[in-house]
Amino acid sequence: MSELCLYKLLVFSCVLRAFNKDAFIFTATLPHASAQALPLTPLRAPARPPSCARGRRCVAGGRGPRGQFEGGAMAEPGGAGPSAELTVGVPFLISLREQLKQQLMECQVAARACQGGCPDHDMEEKATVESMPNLENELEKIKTSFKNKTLVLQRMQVADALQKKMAENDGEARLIVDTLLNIVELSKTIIQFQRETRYIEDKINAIRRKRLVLRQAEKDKMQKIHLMMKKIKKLGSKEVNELLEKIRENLQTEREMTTAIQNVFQSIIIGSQVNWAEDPSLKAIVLQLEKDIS
Amino acid sequence: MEVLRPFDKLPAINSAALLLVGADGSAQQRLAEAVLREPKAFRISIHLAASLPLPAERDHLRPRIDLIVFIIDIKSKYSLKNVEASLAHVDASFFLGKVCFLVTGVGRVNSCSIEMSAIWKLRDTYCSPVLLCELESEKIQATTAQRLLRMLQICAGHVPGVSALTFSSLMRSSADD
Repeated sequence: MSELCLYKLLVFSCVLRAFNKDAFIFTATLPHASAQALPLTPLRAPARPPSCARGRRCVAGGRGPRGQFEGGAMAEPGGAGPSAELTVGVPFLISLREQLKQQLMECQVAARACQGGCPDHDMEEKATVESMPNLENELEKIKTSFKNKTLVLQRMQVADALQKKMAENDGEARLIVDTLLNIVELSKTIIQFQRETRYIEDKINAIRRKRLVLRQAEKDKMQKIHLMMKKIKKLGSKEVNELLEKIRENLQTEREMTTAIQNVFQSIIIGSQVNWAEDPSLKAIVLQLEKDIS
Repeated sequence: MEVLRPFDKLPAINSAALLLVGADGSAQQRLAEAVLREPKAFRISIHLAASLPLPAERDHLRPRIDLIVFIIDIKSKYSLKNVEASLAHVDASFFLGKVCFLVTGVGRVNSCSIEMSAIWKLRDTYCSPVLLCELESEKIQATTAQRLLRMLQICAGHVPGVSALTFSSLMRSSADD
């Protein structure tokens, strides 16, 4: 057992040395023995640093109430010679080791956080950001269910309280019954009104539906009329063209016929050897026949 | 501008350092005395400061600060402003559990001049727990000292398996609801 203690002490002194760089030997008393409060002993310190004069309060260097308090539970480290005796309990050393471990871990974590920017960290952050919506959804679900449950619970509690009150059957219970009856009456009225509202809404909806159908039919009809108008216009223009062509042809043939008849008349008048220049009416006719119709 | 960092010094063996920041010197001192009265198994050093930053001249003499407690007197607006100005001189990694706000004087609601919403806002912004106490009452003072001591123990890494960050997240989850 004593060998084990010695070994542990050796390990601790190594750890302490590695941690604090300065090799020192410390004396310590058992924690429970040193647990009583020591009187306040403001540290004696040299004159205030110049910064105190600028309105800043001196922290560790001031004298009196603004000084540093030292409340001791353990003896001062350092200062003891190499021959100082170690009066340390094993549990205390173990707790000290745990402390050092924890502090080392914290320092390591801080150092790693200071380095920052490593790819792992980025990936982790990405993953975290990606998983955030899911987690938020879950949180919302849980919140909703919790609220629902709370509501149900509250209702149950209220119902229970009401039941108990009703069982007492005193003046307050009568008041509650009156209120409940009133509520029932009001609810009935509300339901009645709601039914009426629904009936009217149904009517409005039916009218709207009819109007919609009518509007669609109107649209169809308008389209049909438009198409018809277009067709009629097309057909009309065709017929007129044909008619004009025919009329022109007729006119042409009539003209030709007239020319031929004029020529025939002229020939007859000349052939009859009548002096057409003496008779004024005949002269007019012959001169008229000379005119070209076309 | 001097910024206080939690990990720029090595911790001393079996000891912890507490920094009390607040405008009201007497309250700080009473609290410090109460903390020192509590039984404990480690060495503790308490530093008092009216505001941050701490003077740089004596930096080499100062141990590693494990927990900063900002004391806000609910009766004085100046204390809140002072704390807000001091917060700028604290490194961000301190807010991973090594900072807490202590609101004093909550027993007298009538004479309050700070709205609680301002304090809750401070808590949410800096992700740090808020303790409420009344230093005039001996009992509450002792309880507060015990709480601070326990927090200090955790922040200094004296409790295996519990880090300051774990503790502060535990505090926050209970404070949110």
